[in-house]
This record gives sequence, C-alpha cells and structure tokens, in this order.
Amino acid sequence: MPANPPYVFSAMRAYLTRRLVHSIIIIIGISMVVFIISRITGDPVSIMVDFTTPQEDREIIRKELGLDKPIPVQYLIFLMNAAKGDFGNSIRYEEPALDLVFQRIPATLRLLVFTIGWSLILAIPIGIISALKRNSLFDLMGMAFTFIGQSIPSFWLGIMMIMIVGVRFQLLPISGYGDGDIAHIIMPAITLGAFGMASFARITRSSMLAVLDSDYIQTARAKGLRETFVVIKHALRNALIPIVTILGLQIAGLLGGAVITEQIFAYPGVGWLAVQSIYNRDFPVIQAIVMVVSIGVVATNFLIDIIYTLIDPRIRYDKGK
Amino acid sequence: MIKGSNVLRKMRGNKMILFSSIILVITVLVGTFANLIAPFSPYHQELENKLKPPLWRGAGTRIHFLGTDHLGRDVLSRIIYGVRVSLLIGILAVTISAIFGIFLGLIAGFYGGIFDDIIMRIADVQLAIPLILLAIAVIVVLGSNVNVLILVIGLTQWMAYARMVRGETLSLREKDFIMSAYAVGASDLRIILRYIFPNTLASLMVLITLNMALVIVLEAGLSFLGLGIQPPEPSLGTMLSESKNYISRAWWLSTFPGLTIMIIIMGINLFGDGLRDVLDPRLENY
Repeated sequence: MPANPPYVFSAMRAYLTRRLVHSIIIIIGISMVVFIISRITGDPVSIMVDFTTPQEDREIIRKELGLDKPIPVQYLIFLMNAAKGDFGNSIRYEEPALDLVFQRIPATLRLLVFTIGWSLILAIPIGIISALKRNSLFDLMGMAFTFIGQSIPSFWLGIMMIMIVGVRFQLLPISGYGDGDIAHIIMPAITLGAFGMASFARITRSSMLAVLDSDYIQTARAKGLRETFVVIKHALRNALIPIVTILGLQIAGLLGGAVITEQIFAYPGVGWLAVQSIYNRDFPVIQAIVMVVSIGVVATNFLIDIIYTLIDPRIRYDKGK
Repeated sequence: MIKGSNVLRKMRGNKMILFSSIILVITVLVGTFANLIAPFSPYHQELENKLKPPLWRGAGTRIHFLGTDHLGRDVLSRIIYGVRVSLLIGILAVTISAIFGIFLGLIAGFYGGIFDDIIMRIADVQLAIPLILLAIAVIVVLGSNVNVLILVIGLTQWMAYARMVRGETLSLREKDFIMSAYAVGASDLRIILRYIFPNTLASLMVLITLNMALVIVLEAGLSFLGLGIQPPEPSLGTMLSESKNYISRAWWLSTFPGLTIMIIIMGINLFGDGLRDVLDPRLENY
C-alpha cells in the first residue's frame, strides 16, 4: 500500500477536530437537559428533602444551593460543579454521588464487553454465510432466528431463562455478581445482547449482499482470485463499515437495556444503581448517572469516528456533517 | 409519489403483510373490545383461587383458562386489558413523536441553516442519553402516571422521524418539480404541504410501524421497572414484574404476558418489513 500523502493526514486531523468540537457541544447539551429536568417542578428542593421538612429548613437549603439566584447563573454553577465532578451527595448513602457511580462502572463495562463480544461473534458469521448462501435453508433459518431475536422483549427473555435455566435445571446462578465469574454473567449478557445480535446479523447479511454484487468484487473474481480470499479480503472489509455504524447507534440502547437487565438479575452495575435510586428518590445519583453514561456514549461515538477514518479511506478526504 | 392502487395490489400479494395483518387485526380487535371479550374484570380477585395453573394443567379451576395470579385475578382477562393499554399508549406516544419529528424535520430540511443546526444538535443530544435513563430522571421528578409515561416516550422518539424527513426534504428540495413550483410563485407552506410532505409518506409509514414496536416494548420495560403503569392497572410489563416473585411456583404468570408482547411485536415487525419491501426498498438497512 502506498504511503498516504501529507494532505491526507491534515484532512483527517480536520475531520477529527470537527468531530471533537461536535462531541463537546453535545456534552454541554446533555448537561442542559439534566439541569432542566432537575428544574421541571420549579422547586428542586422538593426532590431532595422529605415532605416533612419545615419551610425554614427548605429556605436554608435553597440559599446553600444558590437557588435564589437567576436560572442562567444556577446553570453555570451546576456546570462548574459538574466539571469538577461534583453532583452533590447521595441522599441515601450520604457519599458523593459520582463516587457511587464510579464504583459500579466496572461491573457494567464487563457486562457490555461480554454482550457485544458474543453478539458479534455469532452475528458476523451468520450474516456472512446467509449472504453467501442466499435463499438456502441456512439463510432462511438464520433470518427466522434473527427475526425472533429482534422481536423478543429482553426482560421476558431474562425471566424465561431464570425460570428454565436457573430455577428448573439449576445450571446457572440467577442473580448477583458472584466474585466476577463467568457463570454470573452468561444470562445477563444473553438477555442484553439478543436484540443487538439479531440486528448485527441482519446488517452484515444485507451489506454483504450489496458488496458481493458490486463491480470490484466481480472484478476480483474475474481475476481468478479464490472465493474465500475475495470474501475475506475484499467483501468483509467493506461490509464491516455499516456494522461499526450500527454499533455506534446501539451503544445508547445497550446502556439503556443494561438498566433493565441489571434489575432482572440483581447485577450490581450502574443500571441497578439507577433503579435503586428511583426507589430512594436519590436525584443527585440519577443526575450523575445520566451525565456519566451519556458522556460515555458520546466518547464511544468519537472513538467510532476514529475507527471510521482507519477503515474507510473516503472519510479521510471529505466528510461533511 | 405513492400510487394507491398499485401499492394495494402489491400489498395483497405480499405474504408477510397478509400474515402479519391477521395478527394485527386480532390484536386491535382484542384491545378495542377488551371489555366484551375478557371473561372477568381485570381487578376481580378470588383469594381462595390464587395461583391456579392454566386449565389444561388439571389442578386449575375450570373458568380461568390461563390460570390466576397471586391475588386470584384471571390472567387471561388481565392480558386482554393489558393489550388495550399497550396499544393505547403505543398509538398516543407514536402520534406525539411523529407529529413533533415530522414538523421539526420539515423545518430543518427546508429552511436549513441555523434551524437545521439547532434541531439536529438537539436530536444528537437526545440520542446520546439512553432513553430509559432519561425516562427515569423525568419520572423521579414528575412522578409516574400514564400521562407522564406517554409524554416521556413521545418526546424521546421524535429524532428518528426528524432525521428521516429532513434527509428526504433535503433531496426533494433540489428536484425540478419543486423548482417549478417556486417559479409559479407557490408559497413555502404550499410547497411543503403539497409537494414535499406527501413524498415522505412512504418512508414515514415504514418508520411509524417499526417505531410502534419499539414504543410498545419500551412501555412494557418501563412498567416492568415500576415506572410506567402502576398496579393494580393491568399492563403486560407490570404483570411480568409481579411474576418475578412467583417464578418457581407459577410459570404461567411470566410466560403468557411475555408471549403476548412477543407475538404483537412480531406482527408489527413483519408488517413493517413487508411494507418496506412494497413501499420503499431503499430502506433495507434501517
């Protein structure tokens, strides 16, 4: 492969800079959304204290939090504190909210890695084989399987697995984290990944079909290259681009799904903390979770932008917004 | 532009649409006539008959076809009313998000510039916040009831509509027939309503169908977390969440409500796939 001329790198740098600025704007937007939600009722103190708290105490808290200042000033105070990692203390645990969230992140990350891992490992081969053997029995079964995967509500799949695999046959533990062993993560990962696996398989199939029909694949074949070589070297590389796109789009969905999955399996991750915080009406923690998770989504998408520039040469030269 | 008769003929010939239509018609009939079909009131308790298995498992009582729950309520009746709730919330939420999204998408695509920038950045922000977390934050502040639920779901789904309508508007805006409409002095509003919007309908119908499936699952998921429909109101998600406590004793409590959701979602997805094949083959990757 010839070395890239210098202007390619400057184009890449310009593209990535643009994406970085975009990411920062989005994060500021997210902070606004979080701020606005905390002010919907007009009185954020009411979601922080018990309803028995006397009026005088409420006034004191209001002063302390700067709630007597104009709204834009309040937002700036909120933004400055958030930038320092200060979302206030958890109402339930009386610890900094952000610390509580960070304690739970490793468990959720682990769940995500396993989930994305198994779904890609299963989905990509299903998609490729279905595309290569279009309209075969394998293709038909594969598409039926993925159709079910896309239609089955994840929480129901989780409950059914607990009932059959966990309770009836007692093959796997039905809840908790254990000591971080694989057994505790299998069922949550299947629950969380079923939908994504089905989508990945379908996208792989349709983008493989599109690529296999294209001129340059026909050319590669005409040159007499071996079919496996054509598929792996030429077709798959291009078919991967939509998969990366879908992965980026699904990250937010996966993190949302993790809330439900962690609740079903009492898996002690960020999602579980979020649901616990609802019952405790622990708004500072929820605020911290929304911020941290959303920034995670933005960061992942920025990472994906970088991956794009590596796998899709077209982007290096020009890509608008 | 969609040619009505042509599309109908194609739809009749499409097996996916035919089969899924049957499922959907039954679902809508069940939801609409829940009060006539359900053998019991969804609130009716028979404490002496609690946790009875379905009819065919012998030990059950004759009249409770799918068994009873921990309060002796008829599972079948609660599922039937649950379908009504799912459909109602699904339709309302999708209507809100579609209207909102189409409006913003048309403005962003047609006027471009600063409108486009602002609307699309707001969409990006919302797309970055996992919907369930956003819903949790809003519901903790506002409390959980049906109206909040519909509003939350409705206001978190508009982005897909806005993006699609914007994209179509952008490409339509450059077309000759729009240019000639300008040339004869048609107003912006007339061009948007008469020429642009109708041309987005085909893709919109596919999107609305697939979005309906998503919204119904979302409602069930939020109710499952205790954030949606509150007991004793019948909802498929709430039934599933209650069933967790009886998982080793009463399999029917978790099996049937979930199966119902799955059949509805399959019907909708199949219909959406069929519709896409007929109306807009370009959308295959959605």
